[in-house]
Amino acid sequence: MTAKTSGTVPLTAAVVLCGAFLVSSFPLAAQQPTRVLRGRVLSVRDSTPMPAVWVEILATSLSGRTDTAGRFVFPAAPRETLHLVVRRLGVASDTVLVPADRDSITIYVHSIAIDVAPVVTVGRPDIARERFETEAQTSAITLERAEIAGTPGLFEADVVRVVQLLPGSVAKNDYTIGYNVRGGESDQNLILLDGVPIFNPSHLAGLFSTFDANAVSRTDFLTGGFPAHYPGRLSSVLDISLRTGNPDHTQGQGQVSLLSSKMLVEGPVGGATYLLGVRRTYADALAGVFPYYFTDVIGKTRAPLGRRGSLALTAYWGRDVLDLELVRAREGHEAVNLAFNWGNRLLGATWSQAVGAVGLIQNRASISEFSTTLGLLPDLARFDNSARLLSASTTFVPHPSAVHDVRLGAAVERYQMNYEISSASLETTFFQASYAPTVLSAFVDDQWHAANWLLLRPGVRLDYVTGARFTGVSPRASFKLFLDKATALTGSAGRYYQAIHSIRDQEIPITIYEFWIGANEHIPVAQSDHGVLGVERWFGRDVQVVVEGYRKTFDNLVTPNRAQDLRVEGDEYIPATGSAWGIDLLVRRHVGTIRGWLAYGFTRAARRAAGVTYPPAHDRRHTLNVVLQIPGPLGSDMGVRWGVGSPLPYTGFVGEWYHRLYNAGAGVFSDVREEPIAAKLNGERYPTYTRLDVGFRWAFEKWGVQWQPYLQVANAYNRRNVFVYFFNYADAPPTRTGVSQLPILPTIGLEFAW
Amino acid sequence: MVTRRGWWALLVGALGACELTEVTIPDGEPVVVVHAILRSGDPVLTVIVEEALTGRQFADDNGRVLPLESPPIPIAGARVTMTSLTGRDSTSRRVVLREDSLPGVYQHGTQFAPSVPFMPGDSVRLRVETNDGRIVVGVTRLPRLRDLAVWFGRDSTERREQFNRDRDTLRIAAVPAVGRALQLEVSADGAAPDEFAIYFFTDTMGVSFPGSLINPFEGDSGATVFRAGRVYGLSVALVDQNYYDFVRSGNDPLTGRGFINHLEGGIGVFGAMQVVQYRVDAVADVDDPHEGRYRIVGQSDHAVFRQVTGGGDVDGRWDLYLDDLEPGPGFSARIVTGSLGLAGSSIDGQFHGDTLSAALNVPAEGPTISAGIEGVWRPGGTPFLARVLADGRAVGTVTITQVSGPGGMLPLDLSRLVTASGTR
Repeated sequence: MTAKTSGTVPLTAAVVLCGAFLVSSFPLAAQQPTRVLRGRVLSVRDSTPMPAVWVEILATSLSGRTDTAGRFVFPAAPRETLHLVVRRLGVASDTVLVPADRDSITIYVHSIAIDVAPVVTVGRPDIARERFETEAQTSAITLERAEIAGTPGLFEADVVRVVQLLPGSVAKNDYTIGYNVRGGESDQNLILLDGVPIFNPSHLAGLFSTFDANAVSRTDFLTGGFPAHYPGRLSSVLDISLRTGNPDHTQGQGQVSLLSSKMLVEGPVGGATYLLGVRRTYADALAGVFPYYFTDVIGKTRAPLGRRGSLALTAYWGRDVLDLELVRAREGHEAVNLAFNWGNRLLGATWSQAVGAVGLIQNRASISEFSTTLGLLPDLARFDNSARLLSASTTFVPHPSAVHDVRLGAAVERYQMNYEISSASLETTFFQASYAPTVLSAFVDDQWHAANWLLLRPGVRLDYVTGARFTGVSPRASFKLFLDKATALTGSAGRYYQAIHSIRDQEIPITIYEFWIGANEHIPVAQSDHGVLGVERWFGRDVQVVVEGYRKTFDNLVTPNRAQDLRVEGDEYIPATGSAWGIDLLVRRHVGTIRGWLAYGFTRAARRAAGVTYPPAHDRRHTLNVVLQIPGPLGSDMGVRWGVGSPLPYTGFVGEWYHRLYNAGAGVFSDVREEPIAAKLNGERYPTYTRLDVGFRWAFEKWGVQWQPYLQVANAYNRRNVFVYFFNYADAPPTRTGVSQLPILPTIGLEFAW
Repeated sequence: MVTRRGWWALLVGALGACELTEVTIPDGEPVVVVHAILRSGDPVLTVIVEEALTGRQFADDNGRVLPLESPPIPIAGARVTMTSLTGRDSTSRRVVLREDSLPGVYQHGTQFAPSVPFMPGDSVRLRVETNDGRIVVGVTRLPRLRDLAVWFGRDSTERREQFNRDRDTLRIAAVPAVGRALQLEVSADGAAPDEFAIYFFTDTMGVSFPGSLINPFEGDSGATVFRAGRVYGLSVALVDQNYYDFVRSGNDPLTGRGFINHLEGGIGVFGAMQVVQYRVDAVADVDDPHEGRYRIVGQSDHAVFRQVTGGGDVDGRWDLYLDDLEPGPGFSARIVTGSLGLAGSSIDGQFHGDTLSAALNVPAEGPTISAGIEGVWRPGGTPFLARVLADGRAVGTVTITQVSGPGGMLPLDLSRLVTASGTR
């Protein structure tokens, strides 16, 4: 174990007050000089926080456990040289000396494999177990980097693809990066990167997600009953935290796969830490025939700021580019390119400042932007769309008492969405629209340890949406009632508002990105009410079983109005309502040779728009996913994912017609388009979906570098899951065919770290 | 035409997916499909009534050009009427459309005896009743232009007689009294009905087309949409709401939804438009030594000349304009006078080094008659010989002389005059 102490307050100490949730404290003799001793426990390998590590001051009665961020605090530690002992299952125990003049400490620990013959124990049950023991919070799952990396996928580890395998989540097909949570649409999912919302997190039609898994520290996925401090979305929160970078030494890791390569470097610089990752695909460079690539850059730095404060900056920039030169440049005229590009960029700053022994203030400011351009560039024709969010928030976290852990805050979110279709060459603007809601919010959230057997979490959020002139009060409440130390009844209820919508047709089975619009005098603020009731039981400290039932209502949803008059503002959508109910089951083994989870979800969802009630395209009744990480052949670590999804709805066709095109000059119909005629909306269902993915990963060290070659096979038994059907009514008899989703697709790659 | 196969190929190729096995499905549901466009000034009203494709019978899509050919699955024997809803005498302004030569195609009036009683601004109701009792109803209002301006020049204030594609912009601005959008069509003289240089649909009521405009989907030749030396027909159609929705929407192949239908009891369109037509005479700056006016003289009995001159002497003039094309510089030339081809028609050609080659196409009662002209270009008013080629063999010789160029008239170099065979 290594430890760093400092007379000046290190950055890790700046946020300790908010992280002292688990540390018990006992009064010391009044005459003994004391100090507030703060600390943090991190992995020596990659500086990830180590939660639930037992920290004990020898020769005193002081002890406690680190929180999810690896922090601990002793408010009244003796002002003398202390010996701190840290220990936890899976961590090498050690003792650290803390001089009398030091007030903070960062402790690095080694993870260890523990032989409990014949089982090799790795992994950490602690976050889930800690949440079970200390939080009234339903429908929450935390993923760590190892779980994301160990889940086989398509080309590389992908946070969002793993989230699609969790209970309550439905992915409509292999090509969509969107996911539907408990009957909600994909635009109802809030996706945060270090607290900054990101609009459209996908690359290459959903085959890659925005987030480099190597940069991710942890991922919290909340599928219902989420607390009041999260800004407005109706269905879920995906809260992704980036690692802060290794404060001790510079290290790096990279990956080479068939489609992309990436590199990530981290380390200390001055008194700060940094992490910087770059990724790029190279199909355009290798083949030269598919002029597409994406690049993204992700970074984070964190530095101490003032006395017991810290400043963290998170940045992301990504761009997908399809650029096809249709006409080469010549003298007298420019080139004409068919260009399609889109991407997100964001910058977030978080200033955390301890306020004496009172608590912690966390101030955050961020800008998040999505933009896309499709056109014949530079001047012939172009479609531009941008969505920008400027947000600022402040949160005050009083030092938690033995009973209450309160969080108070206020936030302002200013959205700006613009659409324009224009042609400079033709001196014409065909369409323009903009939406600019501002959301002013305040919230309070309290984890209330009402009794040893009862945890409560009351909260409320107040939102005011300008433009729409909407005021919404969103009460939230959760409870956890312990039947015994390993079993608890859980429940939550709450109201949720959402000021922005996607106007994309959610019934279309593929998603590149959402088209965002915001509430105004014509477009309503969407609303959803959640009710969740469940039971959670632990078998030992490694197996978790959660069963939850839920019911949701949806109001003021929007579906696109294809008959909208482009000259009229406010007819872009058709109002819709909906409902959903279902049951989710999670059986998860956190520790052991065989780890992973079984997730089952039953859902019934319905929508009503324009007087028609129909099942939405994501109304999958049964979803089962089994994800395992087990020892594989030839010394490999093997990952297996098997999924089954009951049939999803689609709209069948009852015929086709010739949509004729008219030549006004000649007065004749001069061409035709074959177009289908739809039957009842989503009245048919595709066949059952199943898919098996397997992956093998080997690890060895050579030349001072850790190498991890891997082989992954997506859709290992080449199941032809239906993507879409096509109908031919021009022949007699009529026929139907279609295309499948991903065929069997083996990929190889190599990861390395030094 | 966008076909199902096209979508398959796109999806399979893009996603690496597999095509699924084809299976037989039950017949679809019968739907009456109606297409009717009221074009102001058109002496004939036409309504096409057909069945949607249901798989009960094979439907060949060769009926795409209508009303020249019949629809694939026509509905014959229907009662089709149009009635004016404007004014008090609507009874007298009711017409019955008859099914004459083509099943499923109902018409009223003839080219020589127009009797369409509807005027711009009128509302008209269409009613189609099939033999088996299905009724389709639609209502349209005929568009009416309050003002329409079409002009070209270097800027919005200049108005020129000829459209110089190097410098001018074609501008169109409409002020509708009744109407929703504009359909603009630009076609070169002699082009097929579905062969547009420009097809443009907009609800902005105004648009500009620079002469340097390139259609990037026409390959990488670099050819401008407007080729100098050509005469183009420009149709400006002010269309009604029904037609606007008919054009701008369609059922997408994945959800089968999206078409904005204004008919009751069926699918299709009952729309209307007011059409104004113009001619655009495209020219260009003459700034290359190869550009300018050429005189072609000679004699040939080949059909390509007989068609124009009756045979014998050939004597005509071209105005030739270069295009900076790939793989080599091309040109377009307009016949301005003489007996080489039809005055006003165009010739395309290329320069390979100093070798000039051109294709001459002359409409005929049967297939178009074609011939090529090939020779080694000589500058500065120096005549040069060119062979006339047809079916791969020489059928005559002509003498070509550039008589004007970038600097104006060129001095004729009589000392180097070369006499073409058979030329007096």
